[in-house]
Amino acid sequence: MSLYAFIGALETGLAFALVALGSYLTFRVLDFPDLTVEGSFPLGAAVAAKLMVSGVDAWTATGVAILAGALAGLATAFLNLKLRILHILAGILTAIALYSINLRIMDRPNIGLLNINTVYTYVEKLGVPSLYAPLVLLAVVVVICKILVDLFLSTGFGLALRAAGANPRMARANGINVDAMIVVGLAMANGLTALSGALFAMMLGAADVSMGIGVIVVALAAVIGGIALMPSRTIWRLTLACVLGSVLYRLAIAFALSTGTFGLTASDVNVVTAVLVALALFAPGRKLALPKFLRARK
Amino acid sequence: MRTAMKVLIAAVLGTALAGPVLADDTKSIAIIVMNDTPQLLEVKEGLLKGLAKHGYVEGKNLKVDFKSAQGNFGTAQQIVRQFVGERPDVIVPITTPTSQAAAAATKDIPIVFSTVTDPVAAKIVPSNKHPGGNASGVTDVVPIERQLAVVKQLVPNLKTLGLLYDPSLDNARSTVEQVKKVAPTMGFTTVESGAMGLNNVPAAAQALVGKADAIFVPNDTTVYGAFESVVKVGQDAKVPVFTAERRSVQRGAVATVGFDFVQMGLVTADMVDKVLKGAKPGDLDVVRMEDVPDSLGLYINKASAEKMGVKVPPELLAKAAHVF
Amino acid sequence: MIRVDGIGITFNKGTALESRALDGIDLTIPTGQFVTVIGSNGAGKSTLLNIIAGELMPDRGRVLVGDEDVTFWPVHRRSTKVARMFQDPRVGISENMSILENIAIASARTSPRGFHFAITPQIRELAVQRLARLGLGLERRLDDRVGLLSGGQRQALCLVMATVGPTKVLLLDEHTAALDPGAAELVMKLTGDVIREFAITSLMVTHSMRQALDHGSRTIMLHQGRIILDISGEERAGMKIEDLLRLFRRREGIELADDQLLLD
Repeated sequence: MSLYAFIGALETGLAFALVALGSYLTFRVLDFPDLTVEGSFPLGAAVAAKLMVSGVDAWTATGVAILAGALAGLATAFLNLKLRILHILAGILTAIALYSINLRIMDRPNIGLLNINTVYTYVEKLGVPSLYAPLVLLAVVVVICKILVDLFLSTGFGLALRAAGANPRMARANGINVDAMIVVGLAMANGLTALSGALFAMMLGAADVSMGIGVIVVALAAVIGGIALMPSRTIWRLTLACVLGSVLYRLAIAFALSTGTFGLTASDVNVVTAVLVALALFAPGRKLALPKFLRARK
Repeated sequence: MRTAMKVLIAAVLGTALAGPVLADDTKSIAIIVMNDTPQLLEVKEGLLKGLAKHGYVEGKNLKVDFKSAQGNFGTAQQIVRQFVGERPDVIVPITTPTSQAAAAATKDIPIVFSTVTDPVAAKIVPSNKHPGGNASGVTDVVPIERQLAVVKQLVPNLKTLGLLYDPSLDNARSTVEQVKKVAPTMGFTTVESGAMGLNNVPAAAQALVGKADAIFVPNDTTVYGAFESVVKVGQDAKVPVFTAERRSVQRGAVATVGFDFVQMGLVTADMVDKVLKGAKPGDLDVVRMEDVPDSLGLYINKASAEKMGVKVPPELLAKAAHVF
Repeated sequence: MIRVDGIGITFNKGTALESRALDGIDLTIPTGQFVTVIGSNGAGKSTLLNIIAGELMPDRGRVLVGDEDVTFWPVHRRSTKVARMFQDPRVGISENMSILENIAIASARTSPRGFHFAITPQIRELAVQRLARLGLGLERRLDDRVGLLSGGQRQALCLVMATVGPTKVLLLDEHTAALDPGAAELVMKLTGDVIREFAITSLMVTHSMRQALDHGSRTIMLHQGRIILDISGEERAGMKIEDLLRLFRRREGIELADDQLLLD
């Protein structure tokens, strides 16, 4: 693959690594399958884009986008905790509602970000060549977010959140308000997702209502694949696995598309994703379930 | 009680009778678009302007019902059904998916479609000549040889043309097939790169770097949705990007020949006028924009072209319909 | 100090399965007392415990711990005043976390969780101290996953977790019932030691009359939602199981087969 495809894959991988971190928090730590992501990702993009075309600077716009994502997480938490809607459905409902809300925010299905100063423009002004600007900024953002998540999970509060997800009954018996943990976890995860959406929209040059479609699958492929390749019990290694999983996924797709020797086209991306995740789960150490007559006699 | 009843009956009868009386003078058209994109809104603008030229003024003797499906196929179905229920004089669907929905929903309300790339392939009409049935309209089929001729003019050493599109879009795929057929006769080969969904557009563009001397994007809402990223790739890697539509040239593509959307609306209005005056759509040939004299304009983006390493000859700049 | 006033609760009200699980329970346990609770299935023992612990809300009556009315406090708030050990060794701990992490979680039970590091040298030292007393070698395995421990070891860990903070009230819900006899005896001994050492007000529900008489200083028997026996002091000191059964027969006028209560 060309240098451009390689850099591009790294950039996209890093942008989506934030969603992977968020999904790690919800799916793995909190044991709450959160599908809000399909709505909060484009929400971040929509809010940031709308603010930017209205004259707000890119950094503030991104900050507001993060808050919007956190609110989306709160909505899902409300649906689940107060209205007692099943967690998976609560996320889906919020995501569905966000489709309309995003359209409202943008007033149209697509806002182009042509000739607008994005966060990457600022980096370019510091002297970084335009080709590498997104890579540099995203690397810094991802590292900071990862460290913040790691630190958070090692505090007393973070430990309580982990307990709430691992064994809610035990958590309550130890004074932990499990409901509050779910609220915080969902807000954090969707804040991260919205940040990802805003940064990706600036890379894409547009915010579009359809941007959220398929994001959860990509995030889970990163989390599952990453952790399967780098299993660990240490928090900072697990979050690193999620980030690397996201980047490796994009590189694998770019590679598969560039060689063309497998006769793979873009339409095959979904199958490739499924195969990659399956392979990652089957990773070293697993045994094939052989039929009886093929197994060695004792 | 008695008087109130009489007044009520009179009011009901009055509106019932007034209905058909009003309808005699006023024509009603129902327009449906899939998305509120600026291009399609320009078609609508042209349509209303053209109708006004023919004497139909909205609010005076023309009732216009305009709806957008906001990208949702289910909503499009519902809108079309609603139109059929209201029985307008003409339904004007813009672009292929809405035209297909309209043609499927009614066999007797007249349909004049607009901005459909290939109505025969989309099974909206059996043939472009004297289609029969209740539908006819305007196609914006891109004369691909003219399109590619522009590319060759501006990229003289073109050996391989990269085709960037969303394989799940019918319109885009059929254009790509056409390019692949014509390319050998024009002296170059092609390589494809598909973008499944908006988020994969940058990666698909990046995949063409090093494999193609130039990139061509057919009419493709997915790629257009993230077009800025394609322009960035083109400018960073010095690979010229060409499209089949004018607005994307404004956004950074090097050049294109294309139809003016407002003009498409005007041409559509001519056919709607004929239908409103009594003609049956089935008797009217489908109008191809390329047959309309002087409809094809050259649009160039000089600044972006230079960033992509293209030197635009001054004669072309002079001939251009518009230079961004 | 634990006190319950006029506690009553009915399950499945208005249906064919309606049952008055508790029918007016009055019980005061002074600070530092260790009370055992026995009764046949359905007598209401676990229900009473669940009401004190906060997992159930009574239909009438009050629950007081110390001087506070905690009747309607949710579980997680209740746990700041009352520690609990469960019958199932998997419920009271977090399997995929380490021994040290579990203790850290438990030690923060009474204080609001803050943004300091959870695992500190102080916590580590506290864990080593308390675990060493068990004599099971757990203090050398602080970073091991709890999932690797046996049922008895887990209950011993739970015991430490329940008593590691300032909470001085302990509810024991048949906490040795799921263990093999050797482990059960060990855990029961450790329980007695810890309760004595830290003067913890305790309420232990058990199916075993033997256990009920051998531990604590007071025994209550529940039957059909009411307290029918409440013995302590001298009357209880020399009691044997047959004595208990005879007492029961006299009060209730029914034969209570003693295999309705598990003997060992």
